Amino acid sequence: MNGGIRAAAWLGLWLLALLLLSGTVAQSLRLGSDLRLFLPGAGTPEQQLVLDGIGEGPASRMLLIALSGADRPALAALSQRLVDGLRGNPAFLRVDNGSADTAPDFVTEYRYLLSPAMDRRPLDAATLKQALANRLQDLASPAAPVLEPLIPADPTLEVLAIAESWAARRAPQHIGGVWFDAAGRRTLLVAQTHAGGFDPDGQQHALAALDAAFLAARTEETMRMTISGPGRFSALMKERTQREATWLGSAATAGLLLLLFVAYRRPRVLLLAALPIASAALAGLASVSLVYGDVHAITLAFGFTLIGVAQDYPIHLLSHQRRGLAPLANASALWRTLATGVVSTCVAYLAFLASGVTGLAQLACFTIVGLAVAGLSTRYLLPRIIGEDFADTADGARLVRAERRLSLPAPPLALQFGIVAICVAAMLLAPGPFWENDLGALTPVPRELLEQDADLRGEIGAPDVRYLAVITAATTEHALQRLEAVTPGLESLVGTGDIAGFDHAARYLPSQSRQRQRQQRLPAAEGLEAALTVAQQDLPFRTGVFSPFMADVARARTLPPLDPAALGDSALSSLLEGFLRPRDGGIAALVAFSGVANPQALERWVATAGDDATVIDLKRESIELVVRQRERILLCLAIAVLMLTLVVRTSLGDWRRVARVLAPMMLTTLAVVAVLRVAGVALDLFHLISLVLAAGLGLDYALFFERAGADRDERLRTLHGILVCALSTWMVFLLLSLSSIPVLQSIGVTVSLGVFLNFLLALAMSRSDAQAGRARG
Amino acid sequence: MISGRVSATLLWLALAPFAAAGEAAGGSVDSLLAALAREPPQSIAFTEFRSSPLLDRALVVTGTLEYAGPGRLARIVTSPHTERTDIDGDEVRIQRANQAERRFSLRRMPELGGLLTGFTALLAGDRAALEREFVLAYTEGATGWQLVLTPHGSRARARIENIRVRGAGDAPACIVTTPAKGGAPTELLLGAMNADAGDADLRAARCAPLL
Repeated sequence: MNGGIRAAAWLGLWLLALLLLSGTVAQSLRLGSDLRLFLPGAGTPEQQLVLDGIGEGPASRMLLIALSGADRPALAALSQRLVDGLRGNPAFLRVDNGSADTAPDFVTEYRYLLSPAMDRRPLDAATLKQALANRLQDLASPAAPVLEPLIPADPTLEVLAIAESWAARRAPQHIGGVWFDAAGRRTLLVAQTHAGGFDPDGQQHALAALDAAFLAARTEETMRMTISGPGRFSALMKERTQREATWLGSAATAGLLLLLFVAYRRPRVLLLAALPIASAALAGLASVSLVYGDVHAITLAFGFTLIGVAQDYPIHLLSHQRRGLAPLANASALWRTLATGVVSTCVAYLAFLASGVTGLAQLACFTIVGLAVAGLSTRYLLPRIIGEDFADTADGARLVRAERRLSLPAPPLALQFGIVAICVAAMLLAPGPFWENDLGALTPVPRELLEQDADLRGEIGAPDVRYLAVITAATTEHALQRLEAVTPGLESLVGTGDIAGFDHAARYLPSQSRQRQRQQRLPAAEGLEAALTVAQQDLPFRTGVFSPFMADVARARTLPPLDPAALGDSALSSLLEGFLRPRDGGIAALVAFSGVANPQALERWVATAGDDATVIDLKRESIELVVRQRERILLCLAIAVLMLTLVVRTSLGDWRRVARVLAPMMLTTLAVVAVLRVAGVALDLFHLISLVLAAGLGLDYALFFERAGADRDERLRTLHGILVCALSTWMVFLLLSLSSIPVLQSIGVTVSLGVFLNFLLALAMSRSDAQAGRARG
Repeated sequence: MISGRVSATLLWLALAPFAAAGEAAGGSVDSLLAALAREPPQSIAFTEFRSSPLLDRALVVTGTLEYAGPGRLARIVTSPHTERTDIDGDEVRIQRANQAERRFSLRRMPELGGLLTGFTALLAGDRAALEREFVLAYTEGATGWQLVLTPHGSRARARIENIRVRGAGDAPACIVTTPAKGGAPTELLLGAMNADAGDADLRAARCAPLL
């Protein structure tokens, strides 16, 4: 009775502590969702550009939209209604379907300073004569109603020349006035969101606005809208991760409860056994939000997966609990083994803490704190509340039968070496790359969505994402001047077909010095009037029709040159921001290319373009990033293995026992890698995490089997505990391997395979020891 | 339905605009439409007189109109310069020798849009399609008939007062588009006889309103 009250008091205290902790967590927890947390840190300015481009750059804010499911005229009309419906929506900087033909006000005002045509021809009599002859043809054409209002002030149609030079150089085909794909089945749109690509909440808001506008614009039930782009991905992944985490979590919990009930047949135990892992989760969360501020949603998803190991700790305790044994004495007897497992697993995760990748460090912090708390609470708190009224698991007839059935022949040393040799051979000889070097593979976006994205990107003629040139300059003005200086060289690359096109800031905003040159070439009033008189000869234009033109040219002569600051918060200024990046107190001006047919030509061009210009192969840079990250993590893991070996050595005190404990886990890791390789899987960061997780589990199993030694009852109790552990873990990761999120799926497959092999090998190898022990005895 | 039409296989071009008033042109819009209906493709010569407030005389161009089916019309100018305009759905492309192609949306050109709709509906004999966009007024006189199409969409009405088609028998002779804001009307003379379209009297006789 007295013991019961004490147990209740301890339980109350524990629950109170958890309550307080969860209150703190709920208050301080801020969920971040920037996927770049899982990307490596940049080592060079070029790599910084790669990472910027993935996050905040204009490309990341771009949503590609395709409308399908009706005939062409209906789709063209739908496209237009969608653009009209989204006009003025604050979630979007711009929405373009190829029909846009109205220029912003400042373009009209600054046309004689902005138009590249002004460099090719002065506003003299010959130019004007040609222009007026063309305008006469315009007035006799069906375009007359559109052009007629422009002609008196802009007889050379400079505004149209600017609009044409700004238009995408490789635009999709027009059908019915709007962009269509090459097959003519989908109409295409591009939307630039206000929110950054990795702001899922902002993106969700923009996507909701897009959906609403689509539903309002839709006239036929069959019409479909497909949206792609980084923003769509981050919103989708957030939603999908939440949904899958919920159902996988629920399924895993239900399965775990069922398993525990079958194993111990005490409903009360189910609740008590959950306390260490609940403590682990809360303590992990609290520590991450304390250390890092934001907790990434993926850290949470992975973290809860990884601390699932902690569920094993109470299971070991319960499986060894029996009548006549004080729970605290039981915990104390198991503690050395349990602690060795906890410490060595934590040591492995230390490798990720030192990986230099914020997301991984968060994950490591969460897991290490969580496992430590779970271990300590299993040792010092759980025994005080469970009571000792348990049947000895060693008496279970079914367990004895299971033990006999699971008794594989212990693999002789030769066979072990044979397996190692086969695995090593498979690893090295399997075709396909060993490592996944594609940075894109680190984003948890399903492949079919990435393929759809690449398809739309190709159709819309979005710039090539692989090659980029950078010109560094002290000021924006200097950068624009340098861009203007290298433009003829770039144009000759287009001329030779080495590239299909290029794009940079000076195409939209000429340098102030270029604007002043154009200003100086504008004729004074008398000169312009004389030229106009000559040009108008023999043409039926009424006298005085062009006085608005005379006034506008006179005004253009005195305008202060346009600078980026004057553009305000317009679509053009956000476009320029993407091309002109502040860097180290100066400016990095980007040149984007489309249709690069000959990368060597780019190298030749950059050699002549000046020391301040470099060409970046983003693919090569991103591969280097991934490789650098992996090398660092592998080095950390190697150090971790050494430290872990020392931990186990300290605990077991005998190198032979160390070898027996470490062998199953090493063999399993080797075998899993070999299986993945043979299956054609290239290993990535998430495989490494999974392998470490599986190795940690295997180490636990081996440690407990090693502890049991040759004692029959102890072996049976240990087997009971490890069976429950392995089955529950196996179930959780089998569920995970059903996930539609590729990363979760690959973790699921890797760990469930690892758990399976670890269990079998740990059992078999400890058996060989047990047999040896019996033989010796 | 289009099938069963007597003149279905004949090109509009081959029909003289002043062909004797045939059995088809009865006293109603229906019989007129039945008589005017043709299977695409159709091609017909034209001369267009267009005025502008910017100019002190009208511009005259000649060429052919090629009708390829609903919503698809090409306007090919051969004199005094060469120019080709293709309308395909909502897209209008204008090409001229030595100049970059220009693209416009048909929605920005209600004048052209109205003409196209009228043209298409007339050739298809589709009265319902015509009446969706226009109020129809039919008049018959000694020299032929007249069909006035007055748009009822607000957008088109802001730009076009009406489109007046004059003709005789089963052939239209002149299409006059009168802008809403009071500018000079654009006259489109159709058919092989446009060679002497410079003759102002003849033009007036073919295009003047029939009261």
